Amino acid sequence: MKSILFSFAILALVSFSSCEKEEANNINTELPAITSIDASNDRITAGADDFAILTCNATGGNLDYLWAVDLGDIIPLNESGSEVRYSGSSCCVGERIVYCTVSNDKGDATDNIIIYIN
Amino acid sequence: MSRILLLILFSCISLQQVVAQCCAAGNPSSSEGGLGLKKNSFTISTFYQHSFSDTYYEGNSVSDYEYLSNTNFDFSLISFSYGLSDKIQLSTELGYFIDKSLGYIFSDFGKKANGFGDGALSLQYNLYSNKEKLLSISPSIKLTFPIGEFNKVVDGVVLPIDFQPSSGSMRYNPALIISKRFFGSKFSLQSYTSVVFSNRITKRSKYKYGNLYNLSITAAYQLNPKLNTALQVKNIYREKANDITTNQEVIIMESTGGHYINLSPQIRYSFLTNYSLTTALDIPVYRNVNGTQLVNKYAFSLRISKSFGLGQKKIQQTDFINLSQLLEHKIEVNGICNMCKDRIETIAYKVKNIKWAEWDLESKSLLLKYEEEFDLDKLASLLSKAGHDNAIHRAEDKAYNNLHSCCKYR
Repeated sequence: MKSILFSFAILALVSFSSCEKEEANNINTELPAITSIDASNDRITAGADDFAILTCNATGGNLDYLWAVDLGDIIPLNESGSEVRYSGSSCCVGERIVYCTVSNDKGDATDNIIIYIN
Repeated sequence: MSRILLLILFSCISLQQVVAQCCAAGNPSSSEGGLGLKKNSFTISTFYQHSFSDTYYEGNSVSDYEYLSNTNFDFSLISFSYGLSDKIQLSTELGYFIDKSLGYIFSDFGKKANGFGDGALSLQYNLYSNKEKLLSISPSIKLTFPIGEFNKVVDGVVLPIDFQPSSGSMRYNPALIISKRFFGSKFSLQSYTSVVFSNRITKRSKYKYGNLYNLSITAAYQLNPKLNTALQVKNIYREKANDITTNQEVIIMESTGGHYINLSPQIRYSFLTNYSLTTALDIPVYRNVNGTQLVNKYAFSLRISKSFGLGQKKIQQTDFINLSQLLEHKIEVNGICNMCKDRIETIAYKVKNIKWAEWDLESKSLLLKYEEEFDLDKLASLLSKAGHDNAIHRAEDKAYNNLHSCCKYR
């Protein structure tokens, strides 16, 4: 009985690791690199009416996008998160550095763009 | 008394637009000074606060500026205070945002966050205490540490620093508490003066919150041994924040800081053994913000505290004295009307160490509560000299005849 259970356990482990390998092999990824961060506008007026569309162009495959800024509001515009809307209220006026980090199973890369909120 | 109640009731039902707080994070103010604990006694408190904001102000008037549709938070805090000696109290606290959320007028996309806020450690010293004059002065120092979450990510975006649960900056908060009690301890006035100095944030940003200056005056009245009411007036001034650019220039954030005055009616109920429940409302009555800022509409809070004494039966919590923990004595005093009642109770409060006096017209019994032994004979003598016969002394005819006509009980 013990040997049967042991065999099932080995079989399950082999099957599980096989699936993982298969999934990983289906996606060709490489070390991420950001080619550019584009802004529709690098100077915006504080408030709801003005905003910048930021697009992070990156290579590497299977990328996750992470945006960060100290003040102001970033709202993702597409499913991958490569394109966002950035705006700020009156308390965020000044030079704001918006960072974008892209990552996949090979690593990550970060770049930034400066947007001025007047 | 009825005026105080009416004022509190009026304050509760007239919820107006309240305090502004644009670009701020970290624990909201949760306590504004008590008067210390006795040696080896300690108090554990849990605190909950809800705050809601949905209106922009420009200067001291409502603005039609639109950006956020609203923001609100549900904040909790656990704190622990310990009396190192009769003069020194050590306290620590840790905040947690159950929910912090905002909505935009230009998008259905909102933001939500939760997580640990800041931690704090404070030391309070009872510098001066005059039991006869019921006056005490206690300075304190509080250090707030940004130990909570400051890199919270929601939907692929690291939240801006003003929406993180933690403030990201170290804060120093010296304060001075002056308290004066009247009529034993039935009525008290307390002032709380403090400054909060914020360090510049070093992670993610070089932003520096404006320093905050606060003067609060609290008038507290003990309705009965279990129930206290208080009305607090908070006068808050926050400086403008500043930031450093990539060229190392310091720029002032013009739409930050301002002057705010809040009214905070509070009720505290003591129950079971050394438990208390305190509720408070924060109602803004004046604000004058720099630039344009979102202001708070209202905030309310609940606090449950439990006090313990190591080797002690009674624990002194002198911000609101807990009468249920005091010793009691009853003495029969003759009288006939409410004028007698006022006179008898006023005389009782003149005797040192009496913290509570209540005369019952029906039973002619004067209930006295005290922390330390008082001079019963002196009290009886004062009452008889005022014309009131009592269990110890009979009033002389001359004193009795001086009583008002409605007070003649013989």
